[in-house]
Amino acid sequence: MSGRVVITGWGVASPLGNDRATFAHALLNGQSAGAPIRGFDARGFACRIAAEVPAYDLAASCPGWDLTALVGTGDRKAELGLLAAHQALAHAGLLEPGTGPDAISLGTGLSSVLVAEVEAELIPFLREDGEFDHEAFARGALPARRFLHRHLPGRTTALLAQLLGVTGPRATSFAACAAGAHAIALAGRWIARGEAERVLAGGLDSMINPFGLASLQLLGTLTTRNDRPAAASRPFDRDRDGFLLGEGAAMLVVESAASAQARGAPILAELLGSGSSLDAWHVTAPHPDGRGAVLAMRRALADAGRSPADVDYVNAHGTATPLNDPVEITAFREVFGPHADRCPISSTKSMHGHLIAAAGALEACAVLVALQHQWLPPTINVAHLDPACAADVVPNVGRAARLEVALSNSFGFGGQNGCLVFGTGQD
Amino acid sequence: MPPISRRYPVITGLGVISSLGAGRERFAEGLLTGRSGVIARPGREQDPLPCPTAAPVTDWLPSSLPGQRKNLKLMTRSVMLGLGAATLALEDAGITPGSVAPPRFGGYVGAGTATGDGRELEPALARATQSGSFDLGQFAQQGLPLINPLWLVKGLSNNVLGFISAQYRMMGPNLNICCSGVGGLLAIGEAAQAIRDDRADVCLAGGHDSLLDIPTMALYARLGLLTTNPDPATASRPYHAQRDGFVPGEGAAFLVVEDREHARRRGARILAYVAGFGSTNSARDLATAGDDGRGVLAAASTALQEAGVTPVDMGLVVAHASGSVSYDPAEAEALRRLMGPARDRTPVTAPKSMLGHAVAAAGAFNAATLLVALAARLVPPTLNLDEVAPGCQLAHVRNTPAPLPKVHGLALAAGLAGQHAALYLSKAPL
Repeated sequence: MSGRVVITGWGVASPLGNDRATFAHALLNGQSAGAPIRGFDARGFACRIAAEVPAYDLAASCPGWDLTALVGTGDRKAELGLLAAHQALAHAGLLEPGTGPDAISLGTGLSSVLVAEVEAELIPFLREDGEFDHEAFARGALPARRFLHRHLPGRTTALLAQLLGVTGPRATSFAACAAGAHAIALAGRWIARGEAERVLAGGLDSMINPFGLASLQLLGTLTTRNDRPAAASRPFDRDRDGFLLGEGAAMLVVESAASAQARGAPILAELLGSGSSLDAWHVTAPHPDGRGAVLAMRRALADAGRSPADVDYVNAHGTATPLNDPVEITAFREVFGPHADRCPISSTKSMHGHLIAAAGALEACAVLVALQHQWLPPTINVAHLDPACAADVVPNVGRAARLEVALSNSFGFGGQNGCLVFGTGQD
Repeated sequence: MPPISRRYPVITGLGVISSLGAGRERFAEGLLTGRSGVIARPGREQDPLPCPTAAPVTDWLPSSLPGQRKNLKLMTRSVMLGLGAATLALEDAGITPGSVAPPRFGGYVGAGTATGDGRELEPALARATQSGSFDLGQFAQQGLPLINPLWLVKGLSNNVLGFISAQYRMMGPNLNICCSGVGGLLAIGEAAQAIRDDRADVCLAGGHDSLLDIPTMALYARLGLLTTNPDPATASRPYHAQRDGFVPGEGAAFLVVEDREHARRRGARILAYVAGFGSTNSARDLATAGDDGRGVLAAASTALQEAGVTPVDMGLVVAHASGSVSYDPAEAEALRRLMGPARDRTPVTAPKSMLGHAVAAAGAFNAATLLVALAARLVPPTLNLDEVAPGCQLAHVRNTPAPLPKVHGLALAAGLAGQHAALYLSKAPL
């Protein structure tokens, strides 16, 4: 990137906590957020555990914001997004009127179908013969605003843009599990090109609802280790059996160094570079050699002007699905060569689960925590490292390390990949 | 010292599937003869939606997609249309699978909604409702086996990228953008930047959407954005005194955006140069289409500035102009302010008068319309504009095409909640 792009604030609504300190403490100390699903009665499902965001009070957490547009929408993704955004903007000192971000770039996921919506708006139109009555449905009075709030992918971006008076670029990325990383990368590009000075960037998602869980269970990607939820997410472990479904939002204030310096904002980290790629292979399975992952990492490093030997830590995509983890380690070894044996690579999904479209954004925040504390977050639940995943995965306990440059991977369905490189921002 | 070579994004291919037909020739012929794609909506007598007209794609079959037969069951209508137009664009540019170095071949897509097909849940919902009310346990245990295991995959908004990348070995930089009416044009703008920044040599860029399913039409009807005019011949009438909303449409348009030198080396025909781009937001309510004109004014000004063109020199404007009661005059006023003394002579056209509004594809349709105009040196007409509304006065091209003296022009897009984008294209490097 041409001009320096820095981070001046961040916030999370995460399974490990809804504020920076709680999140960082849990992350550095290897705590799991896995638990039986509390949000609904999941007894009939094969997977009955998840990493849910702790209870929150939206209005109390977002003072000064008019939240009436969300009333009655049941839009959990938007709520999580607003929680994280408010924290990030407060952290960056950008909540005062007239000082907000001039652009916004968020990653989001599939729209939710709610049971309440099914009960109120679909079930009445099932005829006695089991056929759906489309004509009656069309006549029904589904309120347009509620529909918008559930189904327009860019709804939270638009709502935040309105709350903050954003006048510059605005974008919502849908790149499955790479969406958060793509959104942050786009923010960096806008700043490097001079199209924006301060971008609210991040991701939000929640699929811990009956239809979200059902759609993932059908694909067979979820762990079913229901009896031991805290040990269910086992990236790189021989006995991993799928991912632990998480939810949440993470937001960063991505800013030009010139803007941060001009307003005296502390620089927390630097976004050194980013890279995206396509597997050009399969809609759900990664390429067996991880060729897309290799390209994304190489591109991000080239964009950052760094070589693999400069990298002190990699935050892996590390989903704990049988397919992802060995492919990612293969790609990591391809890119890092001999340095792969010296460079730690951990999956914090072992603790906070898989946040899907928000994963790349929360894991960017995990990297910020690691850089700030000079501490490697562990991969927990590694009882027997899979020989196909041989690497220093920081098993089970974190440790102190000198960290200047760190990389974060995100790989999505559809073969979209994203990679971000962060530095401490201290020269 | 070696000569300084400046990378310059150019357009080398165009693929369109719209209500005017499939392929860029049918699109151009339709636009330049003023043939409307708006028809009486099939199904209007079976359902009670207050939506008597539509602009559907009628002469293209998804089964014609090369090499995708087995994948069709994983695609929504919008994705099928997108893949169709993307394939046409790549063929038009003379690109075959493997002919572009995969790591230098990117994809930028503006896509519509991200929701699985609700109809595929119906048998499972019915099974879970046998007792009269919805039973979640029954749904999980007896309903789930009735659902296609790949239900989620079919709902992924980024499927055009997934399928076209595998077919054409496209592994470069990419984005899939969901920004209602602006997505298609934003995608083209970001693709041009990827070329300029030397991150790719060739990018597929465009948008796809289909509004013609009942929930989507119901949504737009309830937002009060659809016309209720039952006469297909006059239903889509941007800038008209009696306009009352837009005709829902569908389709896709993709461009091949390429570095100029790369295009020259492979002997590709250059359709146009991407001279400028701008995108802005005016922070409006989610349910609001358009704004008071400030968003488009800022976006267009940025695009012109980047192109180095003064507003009075603009060749033509392909306007967003959807037939909106409130936004048509706001956009017109913004254009008058932008054009200044040239307001009475800079030709403006509104292709939605023929295509209806295909939201995520609309910006890409406007870019495609601009390419057609630059190629033919003719401005396609705005149909049905026999009575210009007060506040909508511009140098409208009505009913028949007008000669285009200049070789460059502006394409616009507007979306929900006050989002805007503007793209400036030129036949010659500016």
